[in-house]
Amino acid sequence: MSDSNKHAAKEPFVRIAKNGLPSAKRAIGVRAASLLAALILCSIYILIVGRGEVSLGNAFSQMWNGTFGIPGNVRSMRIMMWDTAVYAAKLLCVAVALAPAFKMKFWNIGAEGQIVMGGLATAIIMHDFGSLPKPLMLILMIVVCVICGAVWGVIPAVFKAYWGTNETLFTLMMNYVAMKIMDYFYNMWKGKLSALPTFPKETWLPSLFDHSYGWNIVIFVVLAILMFFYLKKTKQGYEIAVVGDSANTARYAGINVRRVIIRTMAISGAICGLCGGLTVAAQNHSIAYSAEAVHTVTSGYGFTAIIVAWLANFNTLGMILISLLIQFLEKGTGQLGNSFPAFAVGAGNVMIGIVLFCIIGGAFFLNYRLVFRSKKQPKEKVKTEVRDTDA
Amino acid sequence: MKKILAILLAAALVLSFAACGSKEPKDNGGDAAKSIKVGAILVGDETEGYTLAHMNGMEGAVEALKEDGYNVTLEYKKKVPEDTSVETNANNLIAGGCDIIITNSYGHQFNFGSVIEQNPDVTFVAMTGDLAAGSNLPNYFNAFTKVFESRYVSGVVAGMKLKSLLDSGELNAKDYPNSYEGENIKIGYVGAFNYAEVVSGYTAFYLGLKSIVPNIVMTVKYTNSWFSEEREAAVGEFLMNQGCVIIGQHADSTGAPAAVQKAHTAGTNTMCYSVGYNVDMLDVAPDVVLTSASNNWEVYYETLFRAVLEGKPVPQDWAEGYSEDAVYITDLGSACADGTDAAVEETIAGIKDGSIKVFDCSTFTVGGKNLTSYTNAYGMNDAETITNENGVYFFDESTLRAAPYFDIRIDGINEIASDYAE
Repeated sequence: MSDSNKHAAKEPFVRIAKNGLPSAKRAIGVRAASLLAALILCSIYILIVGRGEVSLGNAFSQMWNGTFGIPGNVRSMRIMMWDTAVYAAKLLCVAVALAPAFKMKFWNIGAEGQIVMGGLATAIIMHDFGSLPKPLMLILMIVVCVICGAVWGVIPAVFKAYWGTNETLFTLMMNYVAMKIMDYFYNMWKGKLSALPTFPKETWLPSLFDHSYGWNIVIFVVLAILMFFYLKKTKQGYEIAVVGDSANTARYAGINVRRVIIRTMAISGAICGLCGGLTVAAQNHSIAYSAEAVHTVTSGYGFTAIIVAWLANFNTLGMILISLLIQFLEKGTGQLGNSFPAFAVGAGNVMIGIVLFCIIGGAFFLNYRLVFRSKKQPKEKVKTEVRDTDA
Repeated sequence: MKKILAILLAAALVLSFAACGSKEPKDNGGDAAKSIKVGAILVGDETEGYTLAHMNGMEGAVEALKEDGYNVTLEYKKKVPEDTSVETNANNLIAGGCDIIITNSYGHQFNFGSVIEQNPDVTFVAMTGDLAAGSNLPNYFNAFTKVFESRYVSGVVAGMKLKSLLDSGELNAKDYPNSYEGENIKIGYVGAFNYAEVVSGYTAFYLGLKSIVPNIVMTVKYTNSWFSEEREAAVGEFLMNQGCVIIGQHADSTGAPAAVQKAHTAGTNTMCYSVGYNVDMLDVAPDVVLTSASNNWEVYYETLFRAVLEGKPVPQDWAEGYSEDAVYITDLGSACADGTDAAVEETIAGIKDGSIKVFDCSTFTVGGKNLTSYTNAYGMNDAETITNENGVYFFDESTLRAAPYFDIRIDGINEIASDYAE
C-alpha cells in the first residue's frame, strides 16, 4: 500500500498533453472563452485603474465611440468608421506582406524599413517630379515604392540564401538604416521650418468614395484575398510551405530553396513598399521624422502586424478580423485616455496586452490540454499498479 | 462565433455607410450664446509639460468664464500625431458639436485638409502656427505668447545672481579660470532646435543677463529634441564642464537642472546655476534653480472663448506678454541674490510701459555693428522687422505675426555643433 502511494506521488499535479486537431466546436469554445476571460480581466483592470470613478458601461461606450463614432450621430459614425477602416486596411496589408515570409519561417522583422523605403521613394516622386504629367507620375509613384520595398526585403534574403546570415537581426537593423535615410530627406525638405508641410495637392492620389485614402482600403483588401489564393492554391505558395517545413525536404524535392527565399522576400518587401507608398501618396501626403512618438508613415505596424499574422495563423482572410480587433483596441483605448485622465498614460496599452495575452493563451489550449492528477486512477494506470504490487 | 461577429460587424458598417446621406446634424440651437463646446487636438498628454500647460490654461479659462455665467465644455484628443489624424479628429469633434477647434503643435497646421473651409461656423486656432493670416480663411487663427519677455526677465534674475557672485568675490578668475574667456564670464544655454523660436528666446535671455552684467559670452548647444531628459542632462553637463556659471534652457524637461543639482550635491568644484522653462523646476533642483520662464496660456484661451461666446471678432495673430499677464516667471529659488525681487519688478514695469525694449538694437551688435534694418527674417517675405520709436531702434518681435521670427545671430553668442542628429 505504501508502495503504491509512493508511486502515485511521482505523477505531477498537472501535466500538459498535446491535442490532435481541435474540433470546430472546441475551437469556437476556446476562442469564446478567451475573449470572455479578456473581457473580465479588462473590466477588473478598468475598475482598479479608474479608482471606481469610471463605470464599466461608460468605459466600454467610450471605446466604442473612439472606434465607430458616437452612436446615432451619423456624421461622427461615418468619420470614425472610415478612419478605422483605413488603419485596419493598412495593418492588414503589412500582415499580408509578412504572411508568405513567415510561412517560409523567414522572420521578416524588417517590415518597418520596407514600408519606409517604399514611402520615401513615392515621396521623392511627389516632391521632385510633381511637374510630370499626372498619369505618368502616378504610375511612377506606385512602381518606385514597390521596387524600393522589394529591394529592401531582398537584401537580407540574399545574405540569408547565400551566406546563412540571421535574417531576424538583419531585417531589424535594416529598419534603422531606412529610418535614418528618411530622416535625412525630412530634414533636407523641411529646411528652417519646424515641421514638414504636406506635398502639393496635385501630387496626391485621386480620391475614391470621397476620401483621399479610398484606394488604399480597396487595394489592401484585394491584396489580402489574392495572397490567400497565392499561398493556398499556387505552386509557388506550396513551395513556400515546403521550404518552411524543411529546407532539406524542399531541396530533395528539387525546389531551388535560394530562389524561393529571395522571391518570397521580394514579394513581402514589395507589398510593404506599396503600403508605404500608398500611405504617403493617398493618406499622409508627407513623410515623418523617426524621433516622433508615432512614426506616421509606418504607424508602427511593421511590428504590430507580426502579432496579427501569428494570431490569424498566416490565414490572410482571418487577418481582416484580427486587424479590426486591434484597431478597436488601439482606437478604443486611445479614446479612453482622451476621456479619463486615469487612462492617459499607457494604461490603454496594458488593456491591449491583456486581450492579446488571453487570445494567445487561448491558442495554447487549442493545441494542448492540461491533465490534472485525479484521485480516480485511469484504468490502465490501475492495472499497471496492480501488476507492480503483485511483483 | 467568428462568423456571427463578422456578420454583425459587416452589417454595422453597411448600415452606417448606407445612412451616409448629406444630412448634417443641425445645431441644437438652445442658448448658443451662453454655452460652447471646445475641441482640443493635443500633441501630448498630461505627462508632458508643454501640453499640460495648455490643458491647465483651457481649464483655467473655463473656470473663469463660469463666474460670468458661461458654460464651456472641453473635449480633448490626446497624442494626436502631425498627420491626417488632425483632420479626422477635427471632423469628429465638430460632429460631436464643437464650436472651436484648437491644435497645440506647430506641425498640426499642415494637416487640416479642407475641414476649415467646410465648417465656416467653427473657429479654428492653430497655436504657435503661422499660416492663418495668409490663408484668407475668416475662421482660422494663430496665437502665441511673447515668452521672450519672460525669458528676458529670467535673464535679469540670472544676472543678479552673477553680479552678487562677482561682488562677493566668490566668482573670480583665480579660483575659476575655466569660467572666464578673457574678461568675459561664460554662460550656457541648452536649446532644442535651431529655429527662430529658440533663437529669439536665447537672445532675449542673454540680453536680460547682459543688462545686469555686461561682460558675458554665451554658448548654445542643441539637443535636437523638444523633450529629452537624457540629452538635456548631457548637454547641461557639457556646458558645466566648459565652465558656464549660468545655464538657461529652451527644452521641456528637467534634465539640465537635475545635472547641475547633481554636481552641486556631489560637492565638485563647479559654480553653476540653472534657469528652467515652462514649469517650476525647484522640486528637482532646489539648490541651483533660480526661476523658470513660463507661459500663461489661460489669458489667451479666455480671450478666445469669450470672443466666440459673445459673438465678437477673434483676434488674428494674438501675441501678448507681460501687459496681459500672458507670460511670467515662476517663484524665485532660495539661491537667488538679494534684491532680485526689486530688479524683476522694475524690469517688468519697464517692459509694460515700453521703456525697456527686449531687442533694443543699441544693446547688441551683429558683426560689430548696430542694426537699423533687418529684412531677412525667415518666412517673412522681406518685411522690415526693425522699428524706430523716438530714435530707439528695436527688433519688433511677434508683431508682424504671432510666431517668433527673430533669427539673427548676435555677437557674444556662440552656437556649437550638436551631438545629436536632427
